[in-house]
Parts: sequence; C-alpha cells; structure tokens
Amino acid sequence: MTRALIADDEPHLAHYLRDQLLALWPDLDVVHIARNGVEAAARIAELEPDLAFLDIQMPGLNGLEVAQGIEGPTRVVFVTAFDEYALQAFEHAALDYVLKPVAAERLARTVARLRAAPAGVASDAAMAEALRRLMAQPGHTARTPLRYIRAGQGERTHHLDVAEVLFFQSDDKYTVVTGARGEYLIRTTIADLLAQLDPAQFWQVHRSTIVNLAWLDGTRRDDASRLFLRLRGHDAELPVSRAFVHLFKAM
Amino acid sequence: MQTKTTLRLAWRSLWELRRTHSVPTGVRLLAASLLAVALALGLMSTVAVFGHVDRPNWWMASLLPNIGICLCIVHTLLGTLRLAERLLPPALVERMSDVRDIRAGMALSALALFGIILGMTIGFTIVPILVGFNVWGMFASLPAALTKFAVFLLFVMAANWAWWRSRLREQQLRQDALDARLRLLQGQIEPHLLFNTLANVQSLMDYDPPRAKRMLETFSAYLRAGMTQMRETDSTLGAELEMTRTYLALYQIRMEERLQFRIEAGEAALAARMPALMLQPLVENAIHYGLEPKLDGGSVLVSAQVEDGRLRVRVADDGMGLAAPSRRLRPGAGMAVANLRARLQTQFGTGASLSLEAADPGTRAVLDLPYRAGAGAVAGAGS
Repeated sequence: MTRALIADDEPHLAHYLRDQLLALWPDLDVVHIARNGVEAAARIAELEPDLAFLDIQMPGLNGLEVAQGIEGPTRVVFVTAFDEYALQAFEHAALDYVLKPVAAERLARTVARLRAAPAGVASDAAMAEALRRLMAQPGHTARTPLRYIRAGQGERTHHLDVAEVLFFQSDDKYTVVTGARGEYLIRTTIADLLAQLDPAQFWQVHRSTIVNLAWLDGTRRDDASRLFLRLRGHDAELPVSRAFVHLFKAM
Repeated sequence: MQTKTTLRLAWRSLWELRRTHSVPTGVRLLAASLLAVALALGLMSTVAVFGHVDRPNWWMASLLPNIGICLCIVHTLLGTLRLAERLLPPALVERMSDVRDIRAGMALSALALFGIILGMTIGFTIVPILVGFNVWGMFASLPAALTKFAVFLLFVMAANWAWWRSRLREQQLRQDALDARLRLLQGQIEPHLLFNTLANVQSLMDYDPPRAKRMLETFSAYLRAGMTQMRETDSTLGAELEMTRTYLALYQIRMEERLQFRIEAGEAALAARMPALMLQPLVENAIHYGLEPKLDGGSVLVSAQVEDGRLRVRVADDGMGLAAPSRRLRPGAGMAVANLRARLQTQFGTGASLSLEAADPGTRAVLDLPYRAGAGAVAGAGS
C-alpha cells in the first residue's frame, strides 16, 4: 500500500485533493494532512510516507524548502495554483506536480505516472537543480567567491577564513558556522551563503546545511538507505537530504 | 553612424539643464561650434536676401567677424547654462528642467537671453580687436546691421519656442508610453490569486457551500472594484480603499484567523484624489511578504490622514519584516515598490514619496502625496 502525506495551508483544499486522489487510487493511504511547511517537514521525517503532495506557498517553510529537507525515501509531488517560474522549472526537470483547481483527467495522468515508476536518482538530481534555480537569491551572483567571514562569538567578533569552516547550518534566525576551533553565529542565510561561496569547494547537502568538501572524511548509509556525512574534527554526522544524495554517488 | 549618434546626443545635451552629462566635453564644444558657424552663415544669408546691402565685398569682409561673434554668443550662452547647472541648488536645477512647468520654461529662457546678451557684448568687444573691423560702428550706422540684430533675436526666440514645444511633446509621448505600460502591468489580475480562488470555490462547494458562496461574492466585488480602477488613471482614495477592502476580505476567507485587517480614513481623506492602483500593490506586499509566510499570520492596518495639505496613507503589517529573506518565487517582488516610485516621480516629481520602514514587528509603507480634494466624498469605503 502506498502511503501519502498532503500539505496545504488551506485544509479544505488538502481534503479535496485527498478525495480526488482516493477516487482514482483507492488503495492510497493518506497518513497525514499538514497545515504548514514546518508541520509537513516534521511529519515527513517521522512518518516517511512514499509520497508527499506539497503546496508550494505555505507559511513557515514553503513547499520547495520542505522538499530540500527530506532525508528519507519520500517522493515529492508539488501542488500549486499558479507559479509561472516554478511550473517552467518542473516541466524542464520532468518533476511531478498537480495544479489547483484539480482537473480529474490531469490528476489521473499524474497518478498513473506515480504508480508506474519509482522516482530514480536522475529525478533527485533534476529536482535539486530545479530547486537551486528557483530558490537562488537574485542579485547575489558573486564574481569572486567569499573568502573570509566575520562572525560573532559572545561579545567578540572573529575573522574566519572559509577554508577553516567545516560546515554552515541554519538555526532559526541565525546560521551556525562550525569551524576547526569552535562555533560562531552569523546572520547570513544559507541561500545567501550558497550564492557567495565557491561551488567547487562548498556543497549544499540539506535545506539547512552547506559543507566544506575539504573536511569531508566519509559517508555512511543506514538501513533505510539514508546518507550521512562524517567531517574531520567533528563528532556528529550530518544528514544528506534526498535531493542532494546524487552528489555523492560518483565519489 | 556612430559619429552621427554622438553628435546628436551632444546636441541634445547642450540644451538640457543637468548636473552631469554623458557626452564628453570635447564633443559638446564641437557641436556648439558647428552651431555657431551655421548660425553665422544663416544670418548672413538672411541679411543678403532681405537687407539690401550695397557695399562691395560685403560678404567676404563680414564672414569672419560674424562667425567670431556667433562663436562668442553660442559659447557664452552654453557656458551660462553649464554654470547655472553647477552653481544653482540641485533642487532648483531639477525644477527648471521640468518642461511641463511654464515658469521653469520662462526661467530657462531668461537665463538663455542673459547668456545671449552677455555673449553679444563679449563678441562685439573682442572680435573688432582681433580682426580690426569696427563692428560697433557698422552696427550703429547701418540699417542692415540693425535688421540683422532684430532677425537674430527673432531667430533665437523662435528656436527656443520650437525647441520647448518639441521637448514638451517628447516628454508627453514618453509619459503616455509609460502610463500605457503601467496600466498593462497593473491590468493583470494576479493569476495565482485567480486560480487559487477557483480552487477554493471548487473544494468549498463540497465541504462548505455557504463559504464557497461568500468567496465568489467577495471575489466578484474585488474584480469589479479592480476593473473600475484599472480604467482610471486618476482616482480617489475612497475607490482605492474599496478595492483594498475586497482584496483583504478575500484573503480573510482563505486565511481565516490568520488574517485580521482594519481600514481607517476620515471623510476628507476618502474624497482625496490620487493616482489609481497605488494602494493595492502595497497591501499585496503586506500579505505576500509579511503575513502569508508567517505561521501565525497577523494583521494589516490601512490608515489615511490629511495633514498640512498632504495626504498620507499608511499600510502597516506585523508580519515577517523587511529583514526576512524573500521566499517568494514570483519575480516582481520588490518591483512593485520601484514601479510605484517611478509613477510618483513622473506625476509629482519630488512632490510625493513612498517610504518603507521596518516596524517592530513587521513593515510599514507610507505614501505621501499632495492633497487634492475630489468632487465629492465616495461613500462606502470605510470598514
């Protein structure tokens, strides 16, 4: 039985989509309906459904951000009323999406496609690329990559060479910079950092994480085939979300 | 081709009062000198045809002094304009460049006339010394010279007038084009809103028919108010607020308890004239960037006051705030404010402003316009 989660900030829209899906796909099990992006992300991590129907515009985290944070095997289907640029990107990357208002015939085609073939590594890579393009902050195309970071630690500020940074991780309003000699807080968002850092050395591996490849020690795959990174000089492992797993396939 | 374009740009920049010019000084000096030579030749031809000159060798004897004098006049005139650009306060220079203002035209003409008279004085003093030709004597004694002077002044005035008219026309055309483009941009009901509303009605018909009905009614009211506003360029605050109210009501049906809103405006403010579709983009921003992405939502307060002959409209939300990273996918984020500022600039010059301030929490947009009373108060816009 296929298990699905639906996320939409307007619950009746989610319920309507569920009813339409069940009519076409009677043995689909809708395990949860989430009202915002934060709830959706938490429930996807907890329940690991096979499918997640994510409305793009949701409070908390938008649908794309939720997709970027999925670590497990959940396959994403985006739901939107109209987002011209997102739709172009989805078409281009051959990603699954559903349009609101729901048209039965169109939904039937999407369902047939979802039932026919599991999404492979290729579609993960396509999704990562589409998400990266859609979420890039405009006006931030740095010509020379960022080399130093000014970071706060209590009352003092530090001047950090990016080569000494193991990884960046977003934490609510701040970004935590984990360096070889301690942790620092900066206000720059992950998206802004990504646009400024050297893409050959720094990889985004999760919605909230950018790692410095120079410090990469190795990877581990768990029973549920989730991928984790080990960094030199850091004890805890970092999860890699589904959309970025393909980056490590060739290594 | 390139030279031609540069010269044409130089020609235009000669007559524009602006602090900085894009065309190099050398090219502009060349254009001015060419103008002086053309002017001298034109004047002499006029006198030759109409002036009844009976002295022999008149043409050859007068050519050089005439060119010299015209060079003096043109360069002094342009020098005066350039000096004015530098010495006058920038705000005044800005006002004098406004071709739609007749006072600006008169001030500029006076400045030009002063430059011409000064240039003639300098020319008539220097040139005789240089070429050993007594122009003053000739000027005083010959009716031809007097005719020349009169023709010259007439020519300058005619040229000035023609130039003024052409610039006015050009500016008018540019303004029309801009207006048309903006109307086109504004004329689009946001597709996302349209499809989302339809999706809402589709699902509510099964689960909550009364709410589906309310949604359709509110959406119709919004469309009607919007369509009316889109045909207008000059509207009233009352009509603007009516459109805003239906828009917020529509979002309230969707966001339920996540959105509260209030609209406050007195009678005088409601009747105030203002450009159409100025308020709507500010309220859309408050919803899209402020409240929609926020988990708990929040409130929007739209208020308008008339103070000291100004109409001030405030749109305040307690949402994500200006510092929050933009999570919207729709391009045109931030374009709305730039568009509004461009419209204010073309219509009011420096007489109106739109400011965005960080409130704690949220964002406050303040629209500051000259107050113009409308024909009558528009009823039914309060809420």
